[in-house]
Amino acid sequence: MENGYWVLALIPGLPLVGAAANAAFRRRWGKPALAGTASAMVAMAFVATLASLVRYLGLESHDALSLTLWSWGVPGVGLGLLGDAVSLWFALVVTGVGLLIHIYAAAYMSDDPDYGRFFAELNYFIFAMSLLVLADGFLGMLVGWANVGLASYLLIGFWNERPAAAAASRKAFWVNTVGEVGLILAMAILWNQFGSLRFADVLPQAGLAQPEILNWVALLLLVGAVAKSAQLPLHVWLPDAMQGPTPVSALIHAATMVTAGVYLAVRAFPIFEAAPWGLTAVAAVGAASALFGAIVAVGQNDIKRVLAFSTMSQVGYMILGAGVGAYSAALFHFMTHAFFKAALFLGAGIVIHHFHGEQDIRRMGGLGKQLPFAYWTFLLGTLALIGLPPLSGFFSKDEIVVELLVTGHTGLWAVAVAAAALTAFYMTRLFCLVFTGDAPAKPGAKHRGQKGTTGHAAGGHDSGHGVPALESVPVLILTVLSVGAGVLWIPGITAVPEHFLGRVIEQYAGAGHAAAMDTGLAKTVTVAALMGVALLAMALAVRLYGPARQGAGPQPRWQSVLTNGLYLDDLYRAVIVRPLLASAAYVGGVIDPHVVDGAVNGVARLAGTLAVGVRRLQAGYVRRYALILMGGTALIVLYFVML
Amino acid sequence: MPGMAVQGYLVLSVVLFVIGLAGVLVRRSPLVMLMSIELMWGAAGLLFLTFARLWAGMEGHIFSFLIIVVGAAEAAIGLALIVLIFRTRDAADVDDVRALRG
Amino acid sequence: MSWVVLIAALVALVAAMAVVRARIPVHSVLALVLNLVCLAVLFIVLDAEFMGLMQVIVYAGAVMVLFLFVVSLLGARKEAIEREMSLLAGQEGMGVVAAGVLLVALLMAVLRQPLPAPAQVYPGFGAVRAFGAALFYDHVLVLQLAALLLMVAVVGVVVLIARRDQGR
Repeated sequence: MENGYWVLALIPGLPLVGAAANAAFRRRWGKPALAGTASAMVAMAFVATLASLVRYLGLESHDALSLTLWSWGVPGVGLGLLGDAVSLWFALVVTGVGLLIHIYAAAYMSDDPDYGRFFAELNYFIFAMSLLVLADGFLGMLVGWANVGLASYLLIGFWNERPAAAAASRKAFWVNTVGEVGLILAMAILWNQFGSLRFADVLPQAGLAQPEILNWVALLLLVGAVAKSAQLPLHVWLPDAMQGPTPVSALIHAATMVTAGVYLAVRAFPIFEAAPWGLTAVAAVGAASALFGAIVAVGQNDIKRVLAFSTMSQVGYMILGAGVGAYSAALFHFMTHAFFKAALFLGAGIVIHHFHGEQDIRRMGGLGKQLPFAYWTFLLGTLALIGLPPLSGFFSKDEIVVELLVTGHTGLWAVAVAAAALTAFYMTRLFCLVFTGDAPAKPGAKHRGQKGTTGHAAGGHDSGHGVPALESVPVLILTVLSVGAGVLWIPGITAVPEHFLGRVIEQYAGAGHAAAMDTGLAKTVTVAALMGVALLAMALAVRLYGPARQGAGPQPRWQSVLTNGLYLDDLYRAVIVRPLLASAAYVGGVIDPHVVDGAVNGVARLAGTLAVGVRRLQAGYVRRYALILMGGTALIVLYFVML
Repeated sequence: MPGMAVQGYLVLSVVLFVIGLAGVLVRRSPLVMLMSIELMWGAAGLLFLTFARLWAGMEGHIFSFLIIVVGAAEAAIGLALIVLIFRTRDAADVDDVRALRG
Repeated sequence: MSWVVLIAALVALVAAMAVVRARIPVHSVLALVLNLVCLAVLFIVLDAEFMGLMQVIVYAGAVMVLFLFVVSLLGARKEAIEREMSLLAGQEGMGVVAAGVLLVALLMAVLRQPLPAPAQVYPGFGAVRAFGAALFYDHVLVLQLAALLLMVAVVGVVVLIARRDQGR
């Protein structure tokens, strides 16, 4: 099993080196050197991933690459890397999409004075994320998990002079901490049950533990996954996270980090399958989030918040897939989603730059004529997200939804189809508002500085005339991928993800799921339903928001409910944040000055008094020293005599 | 020699030692302090010789010899230090020499 | 012989008190000489003839001459009695108390249990021959250490006292 394939260590290692170099030389190096170093490190990590992939494909079916980095001599804990199908699948996307976004950011962030810090943090994220997916046990995964949380915190709050960004980064960090607590508790139970935290030790015997205990483990793991993947009910941080720079939103909060929950659900699926409620809970959370995200996205007016809720919804699909045993499909959707959502976010970045930091789609329009490149890439990304054939989103989403029907989850299937309809509706709305119709009279300049501007609107980009090559090439590549990735899994012809990922999944798969419906029939029904609702919703959206739309009237009441995310944020603020703040104020205002400070000051005063007394002994008088010496001797002699 | 007499020597030795000790602690003149220390040396030598007589062994004599040697050396060094102190600081009082002050 | 012992002991005690209490350093030196001579008498009574002689020659003789030299060198000045406000508050009182505690403790140690009668000594015990045999046969190391110590002391005194600027 242990084959010490050292190339694995390069995947997280090189970005870490890049992060250190960028952090150390951020003031001395020029911008090309900084961005070049960071991108080169990720590129080499990508190459290392490809090399690992080639090596892995040459191994026996149930073998995997592994490398022990550190061991405490206690079996079951320590830091090691594991390169199997699932890990490498994720690492491929992380480093590949990460590389494209690094290149994009080199141009996008070119006006920012903190260029080096940005790339240091971005590289650090790649390090942490690849550590997360490559770790060979829960312990290493937790290390990566916490580090991506920190990277996310740093990057959301990148423009830390803006209070909204700072608040958003804190919020993300706190919510993610909830998830980490869940993970740590789950690990504690696993350690107690199995005496090991390595995947290779725990997962094969997951079914041996008591079901009640496994329920708890699954629930706690799910808490971690839910927090990281912005699923209901811990999704509140993701929309606010859009305060970060757009490349960050594309990389961390769409393509990679938020799918860590999917990774966890797939990686630990033997636990979820062995736990009686495990899969049910996962599926329920995924379905609820998919629907909720889609509903709320309809009411969003900020281009990045639309995409954020869309991300939540799409990750919900993946979790839903993992909850019904469609692991390969979930991971396939993860990959295609990473492509088209990253393309959409990067396109949104171009749009935002064009409008000088304006993010409100109601004040946009008519971009199709001015930026044809953005128009076409965004259109293809939108269609891929909606899931129209033959784009990649069709195949991946289809696989998940079909699996719902095949396994007999009719209710979940209906939810998924409804969410798909809503997806089609809000994405069409977004696209129409931004790219069709008339250009706004004055491109949003006076609204700069309002909620969610990117902070450096007055950049060097000539509005409307071309997009820098460093920005357009990554978008182009991502668009091509989101169009073409579907060929990996055309039903009946290719099934690359299933065969590849099956190497890992079949190791632990149980008896298999009873097919409740014939696969062919399920496919027909699903495709028909998905296409029907999607086309209907698109037609409706085009009619409402298309070129012929009416001027923006006052926002209807139902829409403001959606804009505010069904007021879940306010609910949390009232139920959790306020009491916390009040108790913190009590602690800070009453307990700290009087009790804690009192104790501290008392100790200080006592020490001072003692010191004054002791100082008099230490006055330099030889006779006093002699007296003390002799007094001590006398007492000691007295003691022995008395004895 | 009756047993009581041996204890008399011991008591004398103890008393002399304590007198010397009190001199070191109480007096401020470095010369007198040094002389008090010589008193203590003498008391210790008396003790050794008393026990040497009690057990009829020569080891006590050897120790007493060592005490005289050490006492002489100590007196020489101590006096040299006193001369040095007086020469550099013109201090008549050990309490004026406080280089040890922390 | 016991009256010799008694007188010598009493004189030694009184002389010791005088050493500590004298206001003039020369008086202290003279009292110390008296004390040491009385001790020498007691040494001889204790069959330690050679040590008694050494005490007189080395201590009461050479070392005390050294003391007298220093006293006269520095001028037999009195202690600065006028500095009543001693810098060391309570040093005298506490010194006496500490000495008293030690005295009580040591006396208890000495008097607590009866000692056996002194052993019978052979003729010549404590004489030069016996002492020399003990020193040169059984305890040569002590002799060598003593020699080393004295040499170090001599070198130390020279280093301390020699004026470094004399050569210029």
